[in-house]
Amino acid sequence: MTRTMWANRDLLDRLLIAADGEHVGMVDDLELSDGPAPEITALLSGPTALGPRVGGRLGSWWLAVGRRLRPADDPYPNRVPFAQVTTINHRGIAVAVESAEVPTRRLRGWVHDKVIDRIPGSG
Amino acid sequence: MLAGCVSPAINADGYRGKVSQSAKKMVGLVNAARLAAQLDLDGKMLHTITDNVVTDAEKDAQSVLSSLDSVQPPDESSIKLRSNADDVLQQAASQLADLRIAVRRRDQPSMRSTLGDLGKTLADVQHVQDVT
Amino acid sequence: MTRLMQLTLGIVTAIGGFVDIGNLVTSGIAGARFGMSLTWAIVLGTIGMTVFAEMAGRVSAVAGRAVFHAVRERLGVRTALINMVSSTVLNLLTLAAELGGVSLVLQLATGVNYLIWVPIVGLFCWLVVWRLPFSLLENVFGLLGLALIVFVVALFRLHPDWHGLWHGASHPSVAAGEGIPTYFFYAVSVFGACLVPYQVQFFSSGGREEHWNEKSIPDMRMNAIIGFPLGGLLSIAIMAVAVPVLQPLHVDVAHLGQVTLPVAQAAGVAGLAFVLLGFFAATFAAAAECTLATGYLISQYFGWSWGKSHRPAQAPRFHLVCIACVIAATGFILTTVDPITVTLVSVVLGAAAVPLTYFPVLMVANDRDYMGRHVNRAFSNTLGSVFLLLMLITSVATLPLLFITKAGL
Repeated sequence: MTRTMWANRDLLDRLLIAADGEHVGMVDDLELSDGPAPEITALLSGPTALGPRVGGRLGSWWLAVGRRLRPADDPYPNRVPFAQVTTINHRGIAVAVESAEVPTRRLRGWVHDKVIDRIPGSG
Repeated sequence: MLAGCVSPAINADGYRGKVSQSAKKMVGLVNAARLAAQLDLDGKMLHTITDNVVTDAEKDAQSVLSSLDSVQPPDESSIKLRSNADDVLQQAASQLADLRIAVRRRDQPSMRSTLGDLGKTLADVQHVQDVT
Repeated sequence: MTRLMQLTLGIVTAIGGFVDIGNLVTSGIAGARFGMSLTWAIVLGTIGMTVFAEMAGRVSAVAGRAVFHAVRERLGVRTALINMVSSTVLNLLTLAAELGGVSLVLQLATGVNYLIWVPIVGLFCWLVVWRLPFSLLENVFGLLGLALIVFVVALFRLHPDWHGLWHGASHPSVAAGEGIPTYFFYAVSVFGACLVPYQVQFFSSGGREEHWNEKSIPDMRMNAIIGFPLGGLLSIAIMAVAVPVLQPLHVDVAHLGQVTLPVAQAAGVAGLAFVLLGFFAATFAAAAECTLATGYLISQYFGWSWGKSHRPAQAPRFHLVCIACVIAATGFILTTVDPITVTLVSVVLGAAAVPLTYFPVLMVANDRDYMGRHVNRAFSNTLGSVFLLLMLITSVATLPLLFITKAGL
């Protein structure tokens, strides 16, 4: 049984769930291939994808924060190749990658290392 | 609670209303403090709560006074009204302070006598409220 | 634990969880100033809370996700952002009120100024969020909060004029010397105190913390349908004890200490001990729940891992948000702003912001994609829509009332 997918309804702003069940972010934007019939090639996530969609001053600020957290100020968002998507349902989008390998978690790592890990009893 | 913010009364009627309001508030404050102190004398109160209620009443009484004082009486009769009301309200506030001191010292005889004084003053305050 | 005990525990914690600083303050003020004539506002608020908590709980159990998790999907990235930010600001105000409330209770109990307690209370609130297992938080404080039943006991011991109380409740009228706007201002505050948004956010995400599934629906429903109305009954009792004791004395309630006076008169020192315990548990639990609710809200918007079932190291951003919330709210109360005023403002603004939380609940509970056969029935939808309409009217009326009455003076 096939069902028509709407990128807007079924992909954007959905929760990304890693293979180990961890929440690893939201689908903040989509990457499309060039050409007359574009195809979705990857799900994009993180501040540099979300910022432009929020728009306005807040959006640019969020984008700037995101860039700071990216190596070498690279504004290109984290991508999860569409081929790694396993299921899409009402709980979110499951991907066949372990949470540790999903490249969306730089802010998480920073908060963990700089703040949370330094407080006793975090482990 | 927000008794600090008052707008200047415009006319004699407004001023009378303001005095009456202040007296009404004072009645509630005196009553709350008396109830707490009386319950304390009856052995029905935790001392810290009596202290809190009486101290709050004293503070609020001060702010009722200062908020009334901040209003300019518009005419001769208002000035007369003010001096009368002010005496009564001042007395209530200062007796509340006496009560607080007695409560903190756990001085039961002086709590009793202050309660008696407050009862008399209360009648005066109610009189101010009713007349105006 | 047997099933019956588990069910009882759930109901009991719902009772304790319903009452917080907002209910304590607004019920006390309303009873002393307006007698029983605002009972209808508590009844309406409680029904609203029950209907929507049941919906949020059902969404959590069936869809396997908290309501706010779905908000961004359904409302879009920007509307959801505005919703998330306003809900956060409101929750911070509520959290400040609760932390101030706990500190005031400690001042009542010890005589030490509440400002000394504020940082200590903030620290403990954070520790509970940081380390205490979720079920302990709910059960321990829910059970202790039950000490508030002393207000019901006190009501009976005061031998009030029951007929008069009932008449006041069933024939609401504006008390002599009070303006109609003031009456409705307090109606909004009492109504808002029953519907504080963080409670629904917490109930919905808490369902995920406790791994509810379709089988949990009957229990969850009992918790909401029995527990919350009993909590509403407690709020009514707090209001009712003020009527025979404080109203004849014209006491204008502006301090927590005054709310305890009727119990002292009826049940003496032992009664007061229960009051203090109940006040402490209810406000402290509310502070922790409000902190968690804000952490849930923000994490769910961004798709971060969240919840107390994770160790802090596994949900670092969630815990960072919680820490930031507690610090901000503690700092705000330390400015010596009157916690009772903060409480009143928070319940009234909360009443204005209620649709932000309750509309998404109604929307997701009606979504067949999420809910399957547990989608809202006509009964829930009718009640839900009527209440949403009522909430919208309240929301529109709130700010004018706030200004006309100068916050209820």
